[in-house]
Amino acid sequence: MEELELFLASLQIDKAAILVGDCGPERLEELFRYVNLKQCCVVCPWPARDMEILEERIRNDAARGLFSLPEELVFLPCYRFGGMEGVWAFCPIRCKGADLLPILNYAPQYLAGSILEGEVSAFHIWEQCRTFSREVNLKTWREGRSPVVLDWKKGCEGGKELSVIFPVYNVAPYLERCLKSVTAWKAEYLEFIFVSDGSKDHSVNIIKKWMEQDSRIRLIEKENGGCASARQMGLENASGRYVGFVDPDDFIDENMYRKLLRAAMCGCFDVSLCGYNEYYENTGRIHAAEDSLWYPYIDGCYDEDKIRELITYCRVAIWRGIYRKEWLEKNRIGFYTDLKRFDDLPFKVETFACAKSVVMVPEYLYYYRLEREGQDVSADDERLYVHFDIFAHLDRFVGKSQNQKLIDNLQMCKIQTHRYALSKIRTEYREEYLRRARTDLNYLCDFQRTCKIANMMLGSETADEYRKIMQG
Amino acid sequence: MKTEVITISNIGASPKITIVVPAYNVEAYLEQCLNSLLNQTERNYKVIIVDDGSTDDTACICKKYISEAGDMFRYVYQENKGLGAVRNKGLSLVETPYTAFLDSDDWQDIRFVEKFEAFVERLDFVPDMIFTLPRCYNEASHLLEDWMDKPLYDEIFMTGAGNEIKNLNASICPKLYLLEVNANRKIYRTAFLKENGFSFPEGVKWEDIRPHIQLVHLAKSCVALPGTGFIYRMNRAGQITAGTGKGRLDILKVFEDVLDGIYNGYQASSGGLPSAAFEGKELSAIMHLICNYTIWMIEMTNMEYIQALLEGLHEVFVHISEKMISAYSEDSEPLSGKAAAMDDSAETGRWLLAERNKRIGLIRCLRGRDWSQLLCYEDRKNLYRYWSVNGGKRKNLISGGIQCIRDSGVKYTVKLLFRKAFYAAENFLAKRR
Repeated sequence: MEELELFLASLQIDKAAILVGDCGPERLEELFRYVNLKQCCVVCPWPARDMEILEERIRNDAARGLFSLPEELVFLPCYRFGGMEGVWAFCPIRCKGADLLPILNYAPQYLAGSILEGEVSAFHIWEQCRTFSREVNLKTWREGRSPVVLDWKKGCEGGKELSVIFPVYNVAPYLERCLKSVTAWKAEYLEFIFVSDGSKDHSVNIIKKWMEQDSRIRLIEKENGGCASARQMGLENASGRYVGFVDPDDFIDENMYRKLLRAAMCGCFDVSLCGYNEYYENTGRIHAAEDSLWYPYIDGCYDEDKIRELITYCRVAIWRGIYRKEWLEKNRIGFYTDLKRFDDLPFKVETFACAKSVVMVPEYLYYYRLEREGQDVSADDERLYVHFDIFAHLDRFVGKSQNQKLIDNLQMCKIQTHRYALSKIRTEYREEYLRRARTDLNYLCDFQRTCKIANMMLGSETADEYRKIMQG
Repeated sequence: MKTEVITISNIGASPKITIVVPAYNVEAYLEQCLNSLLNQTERNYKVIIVDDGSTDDTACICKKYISEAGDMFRYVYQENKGLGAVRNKGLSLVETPYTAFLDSDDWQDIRFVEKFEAFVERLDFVPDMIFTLPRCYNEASHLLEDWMDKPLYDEIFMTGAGNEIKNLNASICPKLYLLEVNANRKIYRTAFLKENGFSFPEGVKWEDIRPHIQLVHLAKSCVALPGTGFIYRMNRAGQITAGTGKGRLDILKVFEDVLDGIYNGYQASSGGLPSAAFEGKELSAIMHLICNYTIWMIEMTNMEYIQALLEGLHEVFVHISEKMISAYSEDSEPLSGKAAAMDDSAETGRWLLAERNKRIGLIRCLRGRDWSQLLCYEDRKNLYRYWSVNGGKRKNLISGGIQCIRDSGVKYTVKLLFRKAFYAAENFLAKRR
């Protein structure tokens, strides 16, 4: 029994056209054992003689009482199949993606079955039939890796698949390049939400000009309240099934969102990530930010422990991914609007604390703009104290779970954050920061345990740094 | 909804099976479950839905189905009492020769009743329990996966190999104990349950473990129904098994209940004789099962309750009879619930042995005084090995050092020694400060 049988039985579909791919009569017989079809058309891309053998075998086995056949059963070669009447499901079994495309011309209401990984992906097939199909449930068999399932139901009219949210604050010089790169993908199931956070320059005018040419762009204007409040407002107004975030002074590879959405949808992943580049404005040089997180995430990861480890190992970069909105809502993940900076740090920790599945696209597709090489992006004064507010939120969020592994990962995240902050901070703020960091690091884990775990997860050098912080 | 098709042969025949569905606040999943029952291809069966005091739309959804299905479906309400009590209520209302259970967030193969009837017709004896092989639907990946014990199930019943039906019981095949304990995967002869005064434990989680052991022990004949089983929903938010908190401690009561049954036998309600004593092989299999649950519980329980859990487990394990422990450690045939489906039989043997040794290590550790070492997840893996190899004897510096040199070389040992001394000194200083 596979997902296909579940699909047909659950939806009580009684008319189906089965496209036979890389499978024998056993698979068809198995199908008939679990579903209850009235009318069934088996479409064969094989030579006529092979099709006759298949039909004979199936009818003989049914006559022996091994299973019951649909009331109306025909076997047809591909070129003679002309669609079915009324509501029917198109069910490929282990076919090549390209073989599905001609049959999609007959606009089946349901598409369920499996394809082999190849040039035509499940995502491409979904794109072809998303206008006329009510549901798509397409499994992709992958060489040497477990299969993945694209599971999609038609939403309400005008519903979007992906919303990209832009917090806008005085970014006029960079907006054109950003807009050009994100709108280059012309799919109609996207929306771009620009939230002007009380922007004082002519950013809003630029966006309005682009809105005239591209109906997918939406603009929300609000009073200034910080980046977190802008992202939160965007999130609340997004209608897409997935959401992504772009800082409008950055830009993206034109294919970034298509690749992220393809990876995410093909396996119903909660989070889909890609790599990013640092772009130096003064020299134009591009440097790929390596965090070598590809394996095992590029195959799609459902292992909770591996996903929790991303709290420790994944850099803070909210814009490198897209997130399933329904799942964010269920887990009440959003932005803490009281935080003035670094609101993407708690977002990262919370997403990886709750995600059940993560996939990565092994390419560097986002361009993060920096003024010059070695530029110091963080502040170096009391603004760094915001870390303690962030971790106070996270202590509450993670502490509730009482999950040792999760807490250890948060502790590692704290060590790295404080270590980084201490390397930046000016001397006059250092003592105060150290004092508060010690309290923070003592909150969820004791000294001995942290030493041991830091040694294991971050290496002895960072563990030594931690000891220095704790011992002054 | 499809119109009912009543096949001629069944008009007038009384139904053979009742499916009991406990429902508690599951409006999101209930329709899929009831649809799968309403749309069975064979129409001769009963369904009893027992509403466990739901506060959501469950009752309303049920009534919709009652009006559609007529007297095939029955709806009963009782104040919230938990899954065990609800199943007992349902069971008390069953009038058909066979009973099955289905949780309301799972659903059934639409040809289940058809396959069941055809199968029972073929039998020339009356089985006490019929096992099925369910499948898992993973809500995270939307994939349908094999049921956890599929290799073992195939090995035990050798389904698919010819048409011969294997008729087993616990003394012929103690491995039956190692099958997944889930109560929904079995079809029970109603009279078998009633004669033995069987009921599900009430008010505790993990309510399937004791019934599984009890019924496998009591059943004179167990068979497997080929080619069907319900579909189990995994990774659903709020699932009982997903909790990591206080509910995990219920396992202690469950273990006590299990052990009590083993020591005292299971007695029929009508004042009959206690059941036969458990044989060595059976004890060994049950011990393995207890260890599996123990390992799982230790892995899943959160920081708040792990200490309490380990304390309780220590108590339980200390009081397990020597007979049972030695039955397990001296069992010549290593067991596993997930009998490895490896090609290389030598490798399979090694793997099975390692699995058993891990459990023996666990038993020794929990029975000894150092069980608190199991508190931290990163220590556990090595601990099990340590306890199974060394039998829990503490080694002094010299013999431990020699062992370490032999295992990992001189250089590593010296480094380790210095590091340990360094940490000890540091911790000492940190504490003083």
